[in-house]
Amino acid sequence: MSDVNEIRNSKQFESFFMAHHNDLVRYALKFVQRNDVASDIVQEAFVKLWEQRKRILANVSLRAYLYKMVYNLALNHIEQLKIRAKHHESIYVELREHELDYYRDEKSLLQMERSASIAKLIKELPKGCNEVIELSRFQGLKTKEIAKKLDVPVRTIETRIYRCISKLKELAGVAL
Amino acid sequence: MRELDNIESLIIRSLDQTASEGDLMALNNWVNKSAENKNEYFRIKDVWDTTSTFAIEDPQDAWKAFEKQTYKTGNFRKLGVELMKVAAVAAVVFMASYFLFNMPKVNRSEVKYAKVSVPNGATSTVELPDGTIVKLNAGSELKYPSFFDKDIRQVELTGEGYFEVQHNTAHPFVVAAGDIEVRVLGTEFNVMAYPEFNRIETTLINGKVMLNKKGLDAENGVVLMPGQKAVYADGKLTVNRANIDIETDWVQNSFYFQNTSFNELITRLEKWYDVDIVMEEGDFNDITFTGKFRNKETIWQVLEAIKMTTPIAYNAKESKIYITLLNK
Repeated sequence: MSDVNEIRNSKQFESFFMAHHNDLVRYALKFVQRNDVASDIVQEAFVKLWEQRKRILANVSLRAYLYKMVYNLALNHIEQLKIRAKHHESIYVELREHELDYYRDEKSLLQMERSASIAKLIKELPKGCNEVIELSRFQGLKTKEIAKKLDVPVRTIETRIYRCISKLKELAGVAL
Repeated sequence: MRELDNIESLIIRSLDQTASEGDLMALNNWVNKSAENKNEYFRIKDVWDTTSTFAIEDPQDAWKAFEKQTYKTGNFRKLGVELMKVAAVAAVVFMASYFLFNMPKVNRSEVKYAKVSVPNGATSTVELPDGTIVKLNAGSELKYPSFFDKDIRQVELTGEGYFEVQHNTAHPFVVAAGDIEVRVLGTEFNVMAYPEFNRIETTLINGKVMLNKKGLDAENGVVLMPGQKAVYADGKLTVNRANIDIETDWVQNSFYFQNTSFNELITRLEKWYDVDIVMEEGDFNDITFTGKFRNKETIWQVLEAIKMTTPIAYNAKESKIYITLLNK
C-alpha cells in the first residue's frame, strides 16, 4: 500500500502519478460524460494530494484517498449540473447517478488495482473471446463495426461480448 | 411487454452507447428489480470500464500539465509568504540600513503562478491575493501569481470573467486576455476572450479602464467609460455603447443574446450545459439569434425556444444532441 512516505519528493510523486493516472480517469468516466472533464477532475485530485501531502498521516492509503477525491469531485460536478439545469433529463444520466450511488460504498476493480491482472486474464478466456475483446476493449470498435468486420449479426456480437465479459468477471472474482 | 431474455444484449448496448431510450428504460427497470440484478449490471460494467484502454490521454502530457499547475509553485508559494513575514518584522531594522548598504537580492526571479480552470457546465468564483474577486464562466481559465509583488497586478484570462477589482491607485490591475491588455485602477468589468470566437470583448460597469494591444504602450491605449464596450477583432479595437444587462447577465445565471451567430450560440450552450451538440444538415452561417434564457431552463426548453424563431429540428442520440436546419 502506498503511503505518504512514498511521495515525499517530486520524482516519487511522478512515479505515483504515472502509475495511477489512467485508471483514475477510467474511474471518473464511470460518472461523467466527457474525457476532458474526467481528465480535469483527476488533475484536480492530484493537485490537492500534492498540496496536502505534508498533512497526511502515515499509513493512510493514498490510493484510497485519491479515489475518494475523484469520486467526490465527480459527485460535485453532477450536482452542479443538476442545480444549474437538468440538461439531461434522460435515463442515461439516471443510470450514471445510480452508479454514483452504488460506488459510495462499493469498490471498483480500478480502485483495487486490478486492471493489469484483468488484462492478463483475457488470455484465459475461451477461444471465441480473444477477438471480440481485442476489437471492443482495446481498439474501441462499436459492436456494429465488429459485426461488420466479422460478418456476423450485431445481436450475435452483443451476446458474445456479454458472455466473454461475464467470464472475465468470474475469473477476476476467483483470482482474488 | 418485451421478454428480457435479451438482457445480455441490452446490457452490452448500454455499455457500448448504442442503446435507444426504450432500451435504457427497459434496462433501468431490470436493474431496479433486485439487488442481484443491480450487482450484475454494475459488476459487468466495472469489467468493461476497467478494460477501456483507448482514448485516455498519455499520462506524460497529464504530468506536464500537473507540473505547470502546481509542483513548481507549491513550494515557492510558502517561501514567498515566509519571506514577507520576515521582511515585515525586520522592517524597522533594515530601513535605517537600506540607504547605506545594497539590500541582499531575494531570489524571486521566477514568477510563480496559480491557475484556476473552470470546466464546461460550471462557473467558479476566485478571490485573488489582493482581495479582487473574479467570477469565471464555463470553459474559462485564470492564471494569477500566488502573491502580487510588482508594480502591476497582472493576471491572464482565457474565456470569460467578471472582475471586481480591489482599488489600489499605486498598483494598476492588468488582465491579459489574448492580444489585449485591460488596465484598471479599481472597478467592475467583464472580459470575454474565448479563443474560438475570434474576438475579445471588454465591458465596463464601474470605474475606469484602459485597453491596449499586448506589447504596445499603455499610454496609447483606449480609455473606456462605464457603459461602454470595446471589441477587439481582426486587429482593430472599436468602442460602442454597451447594454450592461446583456453582457453580464451570465453572472446572475441567465443569458442574453443579441444578433449572435448561431454557431456561437451553440458553442456557448455546449459549454454552459456540458453537452456535445452536433450541427448536421444546413448552412448555419447566416443565422443570428436574439433572445434571453433565464438558465434554470433545461437544454430542451432552450432548443424549443430557439425553434420558435429559427427553423431547426433536433434530436438526442446516445448522449449527443443533433441539430438540423429545416429550410435551405
